Amino acid sequence: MNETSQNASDRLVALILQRKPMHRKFLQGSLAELTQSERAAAEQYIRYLLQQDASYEELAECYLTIVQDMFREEMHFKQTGKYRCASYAEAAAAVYDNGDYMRRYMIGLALSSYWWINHIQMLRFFQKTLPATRRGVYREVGPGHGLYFLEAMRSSGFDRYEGVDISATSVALTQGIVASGYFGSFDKASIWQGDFLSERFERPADALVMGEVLEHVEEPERFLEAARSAVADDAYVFLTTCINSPAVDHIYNPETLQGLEALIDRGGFRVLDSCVLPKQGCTLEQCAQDRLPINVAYVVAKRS
Amino acid sequence: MNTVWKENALQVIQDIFRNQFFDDSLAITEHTTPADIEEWDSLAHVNLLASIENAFNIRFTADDMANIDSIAVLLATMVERGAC
Repeated sequence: MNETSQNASDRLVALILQRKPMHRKFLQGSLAELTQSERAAAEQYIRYLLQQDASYEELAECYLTIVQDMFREEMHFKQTGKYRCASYAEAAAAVYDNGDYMRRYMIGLALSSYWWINHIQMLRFFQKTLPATRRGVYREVGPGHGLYFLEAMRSSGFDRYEGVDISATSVALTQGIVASGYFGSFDKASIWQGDFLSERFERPADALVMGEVLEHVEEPERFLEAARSAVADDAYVFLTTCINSPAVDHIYNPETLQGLEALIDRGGFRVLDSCVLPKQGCTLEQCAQDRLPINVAYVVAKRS
Repeated sequence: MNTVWKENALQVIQDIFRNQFFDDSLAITEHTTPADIEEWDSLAHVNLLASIENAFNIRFTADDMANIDSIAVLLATMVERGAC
């Protein structure tokens, strides 16, 4: 990659750190872990957003929105031991039904997916485990910012790619990525707005991806049961979620790793592979003891 | 802001920062910002403010958490929350 193609990322990071120097150590520490191809992917995404008429200032604001909100929610969690939202309706009112905020939030999250080491490691785990040559239907619940959906379309050979998201803003963002032509030509994708729990699919999915979804639902066990009924017996099923990780729209906290894996079991799946990531700079034991964030990604199989 | 209170508060805050970062040479003034202390990052921020809450028996709001980005703002917020 030449120097010019690095400029958008560098310029955006510099602007963010100029506004909030407090994030320097964390952000630069994370960025130092990126491979060259991961830097190139982040650069391409930022250039895509700029081409869509976003400005550097707006992108910096998107990123700072999620980190500042995370501060607020961490403080609330520390003081109360609970996430602020207890129901979907509360999260919808605060986030999903607020188009402007939702767009900032999703773009900020997308940047964190490229920049934060725990998020990068979950994406690497997805890249490593997604079956590249499998055919059939790839289905994603809650594609959100669209980056996992994009990654799947780029690196696998399914016959059809489906994405269903309850947020109109998320649908528009993912559709924008697919339709732009900026990342390649994808003619097998269909993304629509809907509630996964009430969807009736034509055929079971051969791959089902649920990135950062469980923490947003009121009844995660029912959600997993619905996921189980929406996949083929031998489907690839991938999910990510988090423990003790407050955010403006998080509802469900599994509390412990054991609690989460028990939920997965009750939902009708067994764990095949996992990627467990304690808060940066902390051990898993510290996170469990002090109720600090843990990110997790699983590949699971439908139990017979 | 009362000058004596401010000096005392700065001393307590300095002790908290020194304990947090295991550095007895850290000097905190009202002009200190995260740009001056590399370790004062987003990961340490919640712990620092939680320690300050306990030391002064105050509660920051969630918005305070996001807005405090210097010792000057911290001191002003502490006054607002009744530490003085």
